[in-house]
Amino acid sequence: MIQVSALLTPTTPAELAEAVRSQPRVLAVGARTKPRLSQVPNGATLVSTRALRGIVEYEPDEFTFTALAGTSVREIGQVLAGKGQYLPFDPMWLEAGATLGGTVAAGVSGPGRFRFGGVRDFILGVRFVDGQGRLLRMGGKVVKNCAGFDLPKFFVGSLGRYGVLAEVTFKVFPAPAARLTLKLTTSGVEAATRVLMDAANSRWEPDALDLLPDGKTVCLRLAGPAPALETLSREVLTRWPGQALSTESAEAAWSEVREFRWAHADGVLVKVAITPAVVPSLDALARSLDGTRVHVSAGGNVAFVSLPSSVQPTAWHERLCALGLSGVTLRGNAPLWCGVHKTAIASAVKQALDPQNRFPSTDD
Amino acid sequence: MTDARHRLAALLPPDRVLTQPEQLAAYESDALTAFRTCPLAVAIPETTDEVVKLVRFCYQERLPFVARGSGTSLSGGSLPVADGIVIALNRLTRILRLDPAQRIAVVEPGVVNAQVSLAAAPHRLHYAPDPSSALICTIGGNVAFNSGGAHCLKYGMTANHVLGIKAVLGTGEVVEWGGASREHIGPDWCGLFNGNEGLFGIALEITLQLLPRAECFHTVLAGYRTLEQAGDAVSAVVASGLLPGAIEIMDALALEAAVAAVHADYPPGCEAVLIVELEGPRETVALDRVRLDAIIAGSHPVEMRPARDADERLAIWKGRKSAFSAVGRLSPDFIVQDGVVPRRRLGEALRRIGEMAREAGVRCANVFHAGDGNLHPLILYDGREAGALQRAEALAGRILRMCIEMGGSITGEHGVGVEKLEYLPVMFNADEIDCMMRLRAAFDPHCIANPGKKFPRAGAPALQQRGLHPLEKAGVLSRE
Amino acid sequence: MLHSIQPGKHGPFGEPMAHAVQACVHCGFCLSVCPTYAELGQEMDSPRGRIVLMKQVLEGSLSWDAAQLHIDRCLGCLACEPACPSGVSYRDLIGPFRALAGSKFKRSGADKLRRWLAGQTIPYPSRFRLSLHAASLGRAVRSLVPGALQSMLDLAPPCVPPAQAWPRVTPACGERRARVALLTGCAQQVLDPDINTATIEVLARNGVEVLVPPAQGCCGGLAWHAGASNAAQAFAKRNLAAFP
Repeated sequence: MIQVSALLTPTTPAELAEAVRSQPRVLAVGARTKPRLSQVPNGATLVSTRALRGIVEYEPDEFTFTALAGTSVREIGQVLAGKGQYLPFDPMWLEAGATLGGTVAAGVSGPGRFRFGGVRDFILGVRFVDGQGRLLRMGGKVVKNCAGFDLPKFFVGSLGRYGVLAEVTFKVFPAPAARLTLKLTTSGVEAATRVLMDAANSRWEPDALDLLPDGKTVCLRLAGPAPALETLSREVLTRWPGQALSTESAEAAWSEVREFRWAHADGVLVKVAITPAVVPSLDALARSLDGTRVHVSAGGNVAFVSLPSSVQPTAWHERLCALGLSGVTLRGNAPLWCGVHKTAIASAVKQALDPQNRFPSTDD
Repeated sequence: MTDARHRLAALLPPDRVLTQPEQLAAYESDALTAFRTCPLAVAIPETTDEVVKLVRFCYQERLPFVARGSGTSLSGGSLPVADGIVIALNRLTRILRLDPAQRIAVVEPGVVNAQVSLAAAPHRLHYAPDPSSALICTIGGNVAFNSGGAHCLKYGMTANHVLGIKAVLGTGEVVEWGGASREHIGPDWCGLFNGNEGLFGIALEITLQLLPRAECFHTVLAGYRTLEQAGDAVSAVVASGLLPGAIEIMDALALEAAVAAVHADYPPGCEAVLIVELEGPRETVALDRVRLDAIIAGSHPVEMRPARDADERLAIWKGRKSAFSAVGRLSPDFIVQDGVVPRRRLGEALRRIGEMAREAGVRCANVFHAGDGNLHPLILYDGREAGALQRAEALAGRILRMCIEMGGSITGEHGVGVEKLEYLPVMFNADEIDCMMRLRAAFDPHCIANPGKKFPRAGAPALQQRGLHPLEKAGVLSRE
Repeated sequence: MLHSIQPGKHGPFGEPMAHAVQACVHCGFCLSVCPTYAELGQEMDSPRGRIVLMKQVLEGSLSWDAAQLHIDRCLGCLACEPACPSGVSYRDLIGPFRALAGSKFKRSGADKLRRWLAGQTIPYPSRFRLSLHAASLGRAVRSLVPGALQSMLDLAPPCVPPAQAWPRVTPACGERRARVALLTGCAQQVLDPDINTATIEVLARNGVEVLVPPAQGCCGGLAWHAGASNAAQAFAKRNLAAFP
């Protein structure tokens, strides 16, 4: 399916623009942690962002930084941590080397998005190359700005089909003083779903709220000053059975989520937009397709579904659509979109930003 | 054109298509009173189906339309166009769905901002974005302008709380993006629609995220001898790692107005007053407040007053929230500006604003979201004085240029509207504006959705230098 | 708001009206509390919209006719005043405007009849009481009552409390700390005379001597709110003379 042509590796935004202009069809790739997103039927010259790395500006006082699109989220995390700051949405595939640009284009946020928001809630500005090969800046570099249209948000989840990101500006937050993760055991997915909803409605302000693939263990993470967390966690554990994890165990548990180690190494991995109410149906669907694993994140607002290679993607596809859900395939051989309806405006916007169809079609 | 008005009258009952002079006069302006235009007619739909019918009618007739909620835009966003109609959305006030378990509300565009929190309150939930006009501004307007408010630093703006939008676009197409999930699949269409200033279409149903009301607040009011000191206090708070829900500063002139308006009990004789608010679970706030109080105390305030109860907290905010309009007591007219500078340069920005104001012989009050560098200079003038409006506008322009030069923005939350469109080319180059115009044309090929806003008109320097724009040559758009 | 009203052209009321228009910044906060805006949902029937209309009439760019319907609809409840952050004294605009409009607004025969009837009964307690009794009778034959008067009939309360009288002087209980004169009002003393009785009692118990000047009458509020400024002034002058 992939037509591998010469892999271009620009080192600056200007070179990236040049690279885009030089080819009739291009697609940017980062660390390939979400390989399905760069599998396009009609081929394209791949432009790698691996040399397009580095933090361009970082103003801890302003709560903002700007980095080239190919910068790894690991590197960014380390630099921010040095100043006591962080990206609250827990960028995923950190150890696997995911890039910030790829994270934006894929629109994948981690468990921490529950409290303050996901990628889209922290992106402030972009420099990108449009379909005409022009290097353009949209948004801004300050945390508050509404001049122009909010293209930076639009790019989140756009899979490189509307433009290639050269540089991104993000808002950051001060890192919490401490974190505490509780593993809560429930009798099954119905009970677990109620825990998700009740915890989300509570006074504790959970930092992360995930349901593990076993369908009954809820991971509730709290953040704030340590003494406060002690008291809050005791209250949580009075309400539901469970235990507080040690720092090491918590790190291991979240790392497993972040790196998708719970998922099948091969087979299909899909991100699905859900609401807490459908969690039990999704769980039932998973159980009906042998070997399928589901990790529910963000209090029941997103599910990552991992199909073993023995399951036919079509079977899964149909049933997901029947539930009225939509998703995007991140890994494996399956149609890119699930339950996403074509709109006239999508074609019109594609035409506006990429009149010569330099970037792959939004259909696949 | 009278022909079009007749056909328009066929779409709605006669009492909901306004064409009489006294009716049109009432709609000729929003909160940016320096601009007034009478529309051809005002249509008042009562259902979303009627809104769609109206927009499709406008598309067929190539009749410009301006959507209007409560007409509280400070940038002329709902200023009518003379050869178009106003579509008033204030009667679409239904809250279609409130789901406390999943913490969402689905509302029509005419629902008043504060009404959402009111409806959510029995479930101990609230809708976070709180512009000062929350008591009357509508969600539809909030979406169109990605409205902010005092709590943006921690909670973000309208866009960060909109999960789904059903809208009718300038093409007449009805689209549904997102829904009840906090996750979106594909590009963030809702994110793009927020802040479009009415150029893309009209939102019909909006799905909002509700958050649990914070259990506990700690609000501190501190008075300072100088604005600098207030700014330094903010830097200290930010550097400490605390994440307050809100950080606001008002200067002496704004204070004077607020005190006069709502009898706010602010410390007298201060050049600046700082409001910092923490919120969260009581255990967290109990610890954080100790740190905050220490930081504030260490910043040498003239007076420092933590709110002792909910009433005192509300009183502190009442003054701040009424500041814009209260300035009406100090001066017959004023321009509310909305610039952004990097937060650490706030002190410098305020000094320069003061200098520029003195040079221009114009008084300027300042209210701002200190936590995110969003300034609201309130430029006072008396319209009856010859040249006063021009002097005030000139000062406003210089302030905007200063913001851009400092690496900020010409608008933090009020939008470009009519007021600042001449400055868009200072912030964005010709290619970037072209990109945005192309995007606009995709949503609104006939250029009927709130035309004349956000982008420079003919005569703006950038366009003048380039002659006919390629899209104009292609017949995709034309100058208003 | 910028305006081109020439205060001198509108007599002694010109200045306060122009000042009120000037103070308005068109922010719209008043819309959130205006009952007619809540009910009718259009800008002309909001305080902000009415200010625009009155401004344009006073400037001469809008006819009195055109503004009439919406100005008439204002209840004069003044809920907008406390909601207004700019401190617009709306009462100083609507009152004088209606006074000026008295001669300019055209009224139908039915309208004139209603206004005349109201003006001849409500400010006079005994006449008002009588007319309310008549209304009770009228309700029995409502369909025979002229349409013009039916809305008034419907507003009349089902029963009228018996009249009460108040002594000219009510001494303070115990040590006299203060002395007041009480305005007994017009409509209120017919619809709910207990209010005056309770007021006198509370004051007396708290050491306040209460005088009820016998020659007093309606303060003129009703006439003023209806734009009958001459009648309003006559009532007011009478009370000025009646109170010591």
